[in-house]
Formats: sequence, C-alpha cells, structure tokens
Amino acid sequence: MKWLWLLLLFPFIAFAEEKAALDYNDFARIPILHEGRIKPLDSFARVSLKKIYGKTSLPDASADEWLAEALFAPARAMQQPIFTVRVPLVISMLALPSRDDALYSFQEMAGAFALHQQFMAALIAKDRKTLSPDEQELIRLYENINDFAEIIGTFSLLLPMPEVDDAMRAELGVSSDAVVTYADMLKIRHGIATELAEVVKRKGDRLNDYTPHEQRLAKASYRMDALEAMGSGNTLLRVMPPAWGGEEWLSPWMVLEKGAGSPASLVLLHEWQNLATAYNKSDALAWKQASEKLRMAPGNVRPLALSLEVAYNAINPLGLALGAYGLGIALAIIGMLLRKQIVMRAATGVVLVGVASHGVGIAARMLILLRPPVSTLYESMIFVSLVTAAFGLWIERKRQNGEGIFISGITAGLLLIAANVFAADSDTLEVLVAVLNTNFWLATHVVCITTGYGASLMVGMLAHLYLIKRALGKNELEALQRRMHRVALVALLFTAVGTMLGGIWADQSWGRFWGWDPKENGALLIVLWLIWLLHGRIAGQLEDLGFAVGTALINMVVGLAWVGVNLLSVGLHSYGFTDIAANGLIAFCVAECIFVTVTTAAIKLRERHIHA
Amino acid sequence: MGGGALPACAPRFRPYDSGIMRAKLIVLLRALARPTLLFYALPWLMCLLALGTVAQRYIGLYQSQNLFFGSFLLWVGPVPLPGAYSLLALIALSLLANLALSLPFTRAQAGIILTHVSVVILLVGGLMTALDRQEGYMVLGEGESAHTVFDYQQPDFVGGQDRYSLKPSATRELPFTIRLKHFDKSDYPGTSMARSYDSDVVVKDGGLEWNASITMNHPLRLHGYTLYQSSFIDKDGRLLTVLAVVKNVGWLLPYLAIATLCVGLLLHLVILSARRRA
Amino acid sequence: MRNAIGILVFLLLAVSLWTKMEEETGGNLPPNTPTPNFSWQTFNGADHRFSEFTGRKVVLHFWASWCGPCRGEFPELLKAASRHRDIIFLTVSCDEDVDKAQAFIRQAEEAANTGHLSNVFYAFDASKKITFGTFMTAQLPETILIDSALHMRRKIPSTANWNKDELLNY
Repeated sequence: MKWLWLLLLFPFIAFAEEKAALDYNDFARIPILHEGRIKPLDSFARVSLKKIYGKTSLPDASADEWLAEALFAPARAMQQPIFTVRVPLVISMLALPSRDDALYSFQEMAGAFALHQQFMAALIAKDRKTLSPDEQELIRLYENINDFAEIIGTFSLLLPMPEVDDAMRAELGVSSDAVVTYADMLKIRHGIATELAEVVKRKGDRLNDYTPHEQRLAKASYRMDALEAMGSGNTLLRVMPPAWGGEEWLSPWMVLEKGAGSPASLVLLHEWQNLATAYNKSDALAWKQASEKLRMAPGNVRPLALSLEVAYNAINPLGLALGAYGLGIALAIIGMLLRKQIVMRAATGVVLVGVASHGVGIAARMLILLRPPVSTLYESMIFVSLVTAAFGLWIERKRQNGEGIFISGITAGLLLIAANVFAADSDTLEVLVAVLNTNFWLATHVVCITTGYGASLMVGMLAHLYLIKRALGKNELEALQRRMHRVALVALLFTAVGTMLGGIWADQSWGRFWGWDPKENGALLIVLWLIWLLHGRIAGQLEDLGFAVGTALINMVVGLAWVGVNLLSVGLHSYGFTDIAANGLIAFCVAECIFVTVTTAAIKLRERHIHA
Repeated sequence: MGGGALPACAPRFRPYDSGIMRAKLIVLLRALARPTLLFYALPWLMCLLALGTVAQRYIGLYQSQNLFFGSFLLWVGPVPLPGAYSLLALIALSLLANLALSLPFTRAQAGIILTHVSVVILLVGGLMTALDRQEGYMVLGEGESAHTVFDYQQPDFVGGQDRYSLKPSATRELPFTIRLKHFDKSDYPGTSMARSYDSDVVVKDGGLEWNASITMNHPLRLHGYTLYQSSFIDKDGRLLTVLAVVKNVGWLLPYLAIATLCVGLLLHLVILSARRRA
Repeated sequence: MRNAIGILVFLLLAVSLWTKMEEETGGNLPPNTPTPNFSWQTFNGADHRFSEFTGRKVVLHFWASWCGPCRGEFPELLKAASRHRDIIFLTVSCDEDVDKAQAFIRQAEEAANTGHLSNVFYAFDASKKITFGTFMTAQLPETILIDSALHMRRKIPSTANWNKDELLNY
C-alpha cells in the first residue's frame, strides 16, 4: 500500500497548468524493459493505459501524452479520471460516487481502497479462480492502482524537495534559487541524519520546540524516508540500461537501491531531469533535445525495431486489414446484387490491400520480436486469418463472382475480431515460455498447421456457400464441388504434414512423438475428418450433399481443436483460460449446427418437391 | 489296400492347394480393403479422440490415455466396444490389404501408394513404441552423478508445471553415468518467467569422459537412450535438474514416415499434373 | 494443388532459414566503458587528475568513517594492496569531517600493519562530487575495478572479499 504515501507527498507540488504542443516522436521511441523484452515507451504507455482505461488513448490525449503527464506531473495525473470500473457493484462496494462513464481518478480510487486494506489483503491471498466476478474486478483495479502508483513514483527522486533551506543549499554548494531534488539531497543525507539525531537528543521529537531550520531538517529527513519507502519496490519503469553487464534494465529507484549506478546512469538521469523540467515549463526545444538524447542513449540495442514497433502501434496494420475486409464484403454484396463487374473488381482490390496490410503487419511483428510468426494463440489466429484471406483472393481470381471475397472476408474478419478478444488487455507482442523457444521443427510445425487450419476453414466456407446455393435452388454446382474436393486435399496436405512435424518437434523436446495431448488430438481430429470426407467421397459413401455437410462442419471441428483444447487447460499446449472464449465457442458451434440443419432441411424439401 | 485310392482324374480337395488358398486370401483381403471399413472405423476413432481429450480434464492424462487410447476394448457397462488399438489395427490391416490388392503397382499409383505406405510405417512405429518404449527420469543437483533411471509410474503434478513429485516404481541402470556440472535457468530479464533451461553435464562412458549440454529442444542421444531437459526442482533455493530418459527402439520410424509421406504426396502431384497435361 | 505444394515448400524453407538466422545472431557485448577523467584532492589539498594513473590497473574504493562495514573491510583492502603492488588503490572518502576520516585511516593502517604503501592513495571528497556526482555511488562501501586502459570493468556494490586473489585478476 505504498501508494498511500503519494497522496501525502504530491498534492502540494504545484505545476504549470498549460500543456504545450510537445513533439512526442522521440519520447515514444525511448527503450524500456517490460515483461521480458525491450520495447518502446509508446508500447508500454498503450498497454498500461489499455489496462487502466480500456483503450490505447484518451479522448484528449495519446497514450504517450498520458504517460508523460504521469511521469513528470504526477500531482495532476493523480486527479485525472481514467480508472474504468467495469462491474457496477464494485462502485458501491468502494463507496465511490456513481457516474455515467464509471471513470475515477487515482486519488478517488486510492482513497477508496485505503479504507479496505485488510479486506484487500485477504482477497489477494486467495486463488484467483475461486473469486466472484466483482472480487476479480476489485483485484484488477487494485493491481491497476499499484501499477499507476509505480508509474507516477518513477522519477520521484528527481522531484523538487520543498523543505530545503539556505543552510542545506550552502552544504550542497548550490545557489539559493536552485531546485534541489531527492537525488541531490542524497549527498548530504548522512550529514542531515547526524544533525537531526543531535537535535532529537537535545530537544526531543516535538517539532514545535525546533527552530525553523531544525523543522526543515526534520521534514526533509521525513520526506526522504517516505520517498525511499515508496521507491523500494518501484520496478515498473525499467529505463536504465544495465551499466555493469547483464541484461536486466532497472528503474531509477532500483539503480540507487542496488548500487548499480555509474557515470553513464548519472548522465541518463540528468537527461530525464531535463525532460521533466522541459515538460513542466512547456519548453518544446528542451523537450526535443532531451528526448532525442534519451532515445539515442547507449544501451539502445535495436533502434530500428523500436521505430518499427512505434509505427506498428500507430498504423495498426491489422486493424486496417479488418477494415478492408469489412469494406470488401460490403462491396462484394453490392456488386453481386447490382451485378456490376466493376464493383466486384473494387471489392477484390480492397481485399488485396487488406491482405497486403495484414501481411505487412505480421512481417513487422516478426522483425520486432525476431521470431517466426505463429508462436502464441493470438499470433496463430491472425496468421490463419491471413491464410483464409489469401485463399479467398485465390478463389476469387478463378471465379470472379464475389464468392471468394465474401467467404474469405467473413472468415478472416471474424478471426481478427476473435484474436482481439483473446488479446484483451495484454501486450500481444509477448515473450515465449522456455519450451517454445525457436527451433526449426517447432517453427515449421506451427506455420504448416495453421496454414492447414486456414485451408480447412476455407473449404468449410466453400461448403457453406454450396449449401446456401443449393438451398436457394441453384444448379451448376459441380464446379463448386470439384473446388471443394481440391481445397480439401490442400487442407489435408498441410494439416497432415503439420501434425507430423509437431510430432517430430515433440520427440526432440520431450522424448515422445505422440502424447495424446489435447492440441495433438485436436490436430489429428481435423486430419481424420478430412481423410474420412475424402475417402467417403472417392469410394462413394458420401454423395455431393453428404460431402458438403461434412465439409461445412469442419469449421466446428477446427474451432474445437484450436480454441476448445485451450479451454481444457490441460496438457502442454494450454496458453490461457477465458470465459468469453468458452461462451463464444459454444455459440459458434450451435450456430453452425443450426445452419447445417436448416440448409439441409431446405434442400431436402426443395428436392423432394422436384423428385415427386 | 482298401478304400483309399481314388481315380486319378477326379478332383481332389487338398487343404493346401495354393490356388484355393489364394482365392480365400483374396476374399479376405477384399473384405479388409472395403472402403466401408474405413468409413465406419474413422468416426468411431474420432469419437474416442474427442471423448478421451475431454476426459483428461476430469480423470487425468494417464487414466484417460489408458482408457481411451491404450486399450483394445472399451467397456460401456456390459457392452464391449472397439478401443483405439483395435481400430488402429483394423485400419492398418485394411491399408495393407489395399496395398496387397493393388499389386502389381502401376506408375500412376506410385504417389498414393507411397502415401499409404507412410501411414503404415507410422502405425508400425506407434505399435513398437506402445510395446517397447521405456521412459524414466533422473534428478541431479550440481556436482551429483547418477546412472540410475527411475520409471514414471504416475506423475503427480503439485503446484504447477515446473514442480512436481513423481511416484517412482522401477529403476533401471544405464550403461553410462551422467554428472551435472552446472544447471542454468535463465529468465527473461526483469521477470520470473523461464527463458531456457540448460544442463551442463559430463558423460562418463566406459573409459571416456566428455562434456555435453542438454537444453530445451536439444536432447542428448547415446546408446539408444535419449536424455531430454525436462524440468527442474527448486529445493529451498537449490536448483535440481530433471532429465527425462527415453529408450524407444522405433524412434526413427516417424521420421521415416514423414519423409515417405512428403515424397508420396509430391510424386502424386507430379503424376497428376503430368496426366493433366497429357 | 501444385501451388499448394509450392507454397508449403517455400514456407518451410523460409522458416528454416529464419531459425538459422536467429540462432547465429544475438548476444551481449561486454561493457568497455572509459572511466571519466575526474579531478581529486588529497587530504592535504593537492590536486590530481585520474588520468595520471594511465597504464596501471586501478581499484577505486568509496568509503566514509561513519560507514560500519567499511571499518572491517579497509584493513583487508590494505593487505590486498600490499600483495598487489602493481595495482593502484585510489580510496575516496566522502566524509565531511577531515579529522574523522584521518582517524579512520590511521586505525585501519594500524590494523593492517602494512606500513606506508606507495600504491594506496587517499582522496577527500566532502562535496560528494566524485562519489555521487560522477559515479552515482549512493551506498557505501563500493568498489570499482578499472583496467590499465582505465576502462571500468566491474563494480562490487557492497563489501568485497579482498582475501580472494581472483578478485584482482581481471
């Protein structure tokens, strides 16, 4: 509960109210070690703001602007209503005033939580999974408050100390109007402590008995103690690169505590101080100079990757792709209704742009993280999305009647949306657990099998199309059946090879080719399903309709194999557990079953009519 | 000589008449090779897969593995249903029958034949593993050596993936000794999430001694045994490495199967496109 | 189908090349940082610059008379200095009280019983300009090991074990 100190320490530090137009370009690219990797401040700001506020920017400020205010003008930042409370019950639990937008400031939240310290301590000790939704929300808010407290306390060692008088300034050797910070006061720390000890020995500890100088002495000492208490454990903003070897970047407070200071770190801290001063004076030039120096400081191992990541955050190529797919679908529908070829071509063009943006996004991620593309659940989803979009374009190239755009646009778009739901509040550019470290077999396995999933979804969508068309009474569906057959073969190729590659990787890592792990079983299920469909078709047990129904259901199988097994939380493949996913998956399966039943019934009705 | 000799021209039934045996064999093969067999076997296998996977959550990996994937028969009350082994055996036989009936192979079929052969190889490999594979573990602290492997009986996961206690059953002796020089668990900087596990060992084999490194995804292979970096145990601050020791005679077969599969599929495509051009 | 095979082969090749690339690159460079050329004063007020020590290994040690652990460590440092006459030991006191600092030094020299060592130097840094203002040393004792090119090699952010000879073989 160290952030309680903040409520006492900061309120009476006044700062200028205007926010000048500062250039955040360099500030965004300053490196920070967070969650195991070096990332630009921009990513840290966005992720933190998303956790607290729910979006990566405020209505009147970008994430970078928000972070700068929190770092350099903490008193102001504490009063901004940015904490989103998602569960209404919690508002009354914390005795917060009810508001339409459910946004509260740090000051309000910290004050509210201060009254329930014991309760929160008990709550934290329990297992997360056993808590009710409102209890989980309480913990989430509590963690957000702690994170925010660490952010605003990062540079508290560079903040002016108001209890400094001329005697102390004389000891420090600075002029009477110079700003003195905690870091400066460290130089006379020992002297102050000794002097204060003597005062206490002589006069006791009643402040009223002290001279003004002695009072200042006591307050300065108290404040330094308080700052240190708050500073220890302030580990979030690791912007100081390791000066003495190793890979662990440190926060400014950690540098002091661990004795990791060096001439280089001193220089850096001075620059941060310049940055803070420039911010509070709205000095655009000084701000630019300081932020440029910080960005280019030694320890910045891959400046291009940082710039790329900032660009990735800003441009959001995956979001662009999603928009393009949506627009493509709309245009395709219009084109199909109006039967205008040019609209269809426009739709294809739009989706092409989307696929290009999508591909660039994935390539950018590869360059930022220096690893092959499909390493987490989020990444597998966006990769399969790309595969289906590309497949759709390929199909569209053959037929040019909008069907390819339509089915791939829907699938790719839904997958991107689902991926965002899975990403939730976390940084999607995350590091991997040990066993997933790059390895030839692993990389080829996941790329291959997710391509197979994409192809399977495509053939499933083609089957959907077939069922719809046949239910609507269209004939001339032989070409579509042939295409389904071919795409099914492609899907079988990728999934079968991918599954076997997975087995080889497992043999290299764990000593067994096959372990009946849920994810392995899921992949095998898809392979068997495809084998069954294809053999049934070739041998004649499955007629056109049967083949189409079986193929349409493959979407469900892929969904269960891919997402469903994660929800089982068993085995080596589980990435995480989420309720939204479970409900979404069930809804999806139900919808698919209904679709297949309805279309089949419609077809049977229509064709019984014909046969009769 | 009384009643034995028949007229020489009358047809005799000789039990080992190769022609009739061959005909009976072909009938059997045809029955096995019927596509309906696969058509009904596969859905049931898929059912077992699905049920077995879900069951893992409730009865654990080991139990569900035995029940759903490791048995010939699955008893539902008094009713015996085919288990995974039976189905896989049936499928394997069906495949072999198909291959036998396709003799002599034509060039056009080469791709498909190879693809199916690869599946047979895979299944045979699976059979060998099921019959023969030995798996155990070794726990070493820095400076310690061992040549005894403890067999897994039923792993008890306590606390999470990283720490578990195992109930050992049998022990086996290795023909060599492993000494742990240094175990390194490196975390992602600033976090407590493991980035890689590294065991620096010295192998003592007969009169020879040499250094080796066993890390995640990079096992040590020696005398038919393979040693993997499985995990580690944190015993009051002291890190002990856990190495998995596997002996699997059929380990090469899956690699062979995938190679055959790739060749088979590529060949099939080449043949198809040649045919399309002709 | 042929396109699919082509794509598959391309993907596998690309990914395999990528993993090769990642395995070969990477790694950390050791710090090779020059020591700032600060000026320092003896207790008598004589001015010196750090660059005067070029060509010699330097052990830079920060202490103060009020630092408890320093008291036990300093004699050991002096003994190590007598064993390694080729290494310069520049000890920097951030005491504000000259007398206390000099008393500390006398006591340590008596405890070490090494006599006057020509490779041990005493700097007086009451303003903390060197201690904190150059090296950001906030806690005592601290030792920085510097090589003969006057590059900083290693920092020991607490008491050092001066009895271990490997310490000074850097």
